[in-house]
Amino acid sequence: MSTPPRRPRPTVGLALAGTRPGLGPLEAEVLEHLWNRGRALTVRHVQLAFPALAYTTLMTTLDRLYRKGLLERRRRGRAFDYEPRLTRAELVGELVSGHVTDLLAAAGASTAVLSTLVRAVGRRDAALLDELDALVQAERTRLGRSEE
Amino acid sequence: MSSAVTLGLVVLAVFGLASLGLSGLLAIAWRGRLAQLGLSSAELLALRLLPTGGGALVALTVALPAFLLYEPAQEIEAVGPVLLSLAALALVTLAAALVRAGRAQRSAGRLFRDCGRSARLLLTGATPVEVLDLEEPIVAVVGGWRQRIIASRRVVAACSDDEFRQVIAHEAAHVSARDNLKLLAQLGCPDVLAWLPTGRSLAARWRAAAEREADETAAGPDRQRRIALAAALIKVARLSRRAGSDLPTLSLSVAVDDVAGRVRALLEPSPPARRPLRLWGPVAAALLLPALSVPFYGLVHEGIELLVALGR
Repeated sequence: MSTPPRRPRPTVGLALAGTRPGLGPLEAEVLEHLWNRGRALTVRHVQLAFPALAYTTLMTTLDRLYRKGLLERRRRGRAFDYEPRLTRAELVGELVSGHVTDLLAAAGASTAVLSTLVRAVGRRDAALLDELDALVQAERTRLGRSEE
Repeated sequence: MSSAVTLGLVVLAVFGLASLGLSGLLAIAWRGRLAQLGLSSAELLALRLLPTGGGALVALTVALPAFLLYEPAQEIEAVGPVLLSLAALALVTLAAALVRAGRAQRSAGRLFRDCGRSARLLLTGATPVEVLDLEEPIVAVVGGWRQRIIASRRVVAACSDDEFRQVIAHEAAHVSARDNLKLLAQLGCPDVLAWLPTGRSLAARWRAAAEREADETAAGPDRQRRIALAAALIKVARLSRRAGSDLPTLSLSVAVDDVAGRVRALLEPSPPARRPLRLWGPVAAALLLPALSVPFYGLVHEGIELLVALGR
């Protein structure tokens, strides 16, 4: 019995092409096409939208997108059906999340242009946060009483 | 070596020497009494920019005119290793600053662009906020010249309307204070301070002061708003603490003492009074330096000649 191919997750550094570093222009176009069609497509089906391109070029492109973790694929006879693993919004969300993680990591060394409300807090500080919370509650009560 | 090249090397070397000297003096003063003073973010920023600004001022308004006036035209002069080393130091610090600032601007720009595509816009009063589905419980201003306020959905969900309004008022205060540009200016300072503990300490103190000032601008003297912001700070800190267990890279930037200080400051019965900036002395000295140095151009040129010949 053949084992199904491992599905890699998108890497954090990936982003969409053009303004989307990490994907080539053709990869981005193919991905956009799959998003627009909204269903699983074989290489042959994708080629209908890119008639100028060779079948093998599109097969390589789809395979590359699959290896980058951006597409799912299922065997259908001798061919594969490809469909996006994430919606456009989900993918961009993952990318932004990756950028934020990178920036926050860099902000620790003061190398990012990012003002954050609260920077990361250590695990040991739960008790202090409880104490601060109690202060806030007491202040709220005091303010409530004085307004009455 | 042509006189134009010598002039370039002299300007660079004087900049390197002045900036190195000022960085050293600042480091000594910081370890002495300066770090204990309650300085505002503007004062801390001025201190951080002092080595670069002072170095540029001395090189361009003192050394350059003195060299142009007193150096015999077309004189071909061999340059010693000390001047070359100082010029090289200036070039290295310049290159490193450009890389630092460029990298920060690029990564922030990427985030700025991607946020625009994926965010849901939320209007809180007059301030547009982009709400994102992020793992990190973040509320932040991103971008350098153009700025956006982003917030993760987790923070929006955790805060009450009143608390979230104060959070956004806090970020809006950063936007109007142009704090990200000030941060970029610090990253782009071509001096050795960036590699010294004093530089890191100054940057951390500036961040802390900028946060406290944004808190004060956002909440003002209104007790209710101050309590709402304090409560929001604690909520976001709690969320950050949970996220921190999955993000070990964040564990460096611990700021709970800062959160504690900010919460306590917000709960103080009377908000701290704003005091005038203590920047007039240094600004006046900077403005007077070019004029005061004119009678000493001859002496300055002799010093430059000594520097050029040193070790030759």
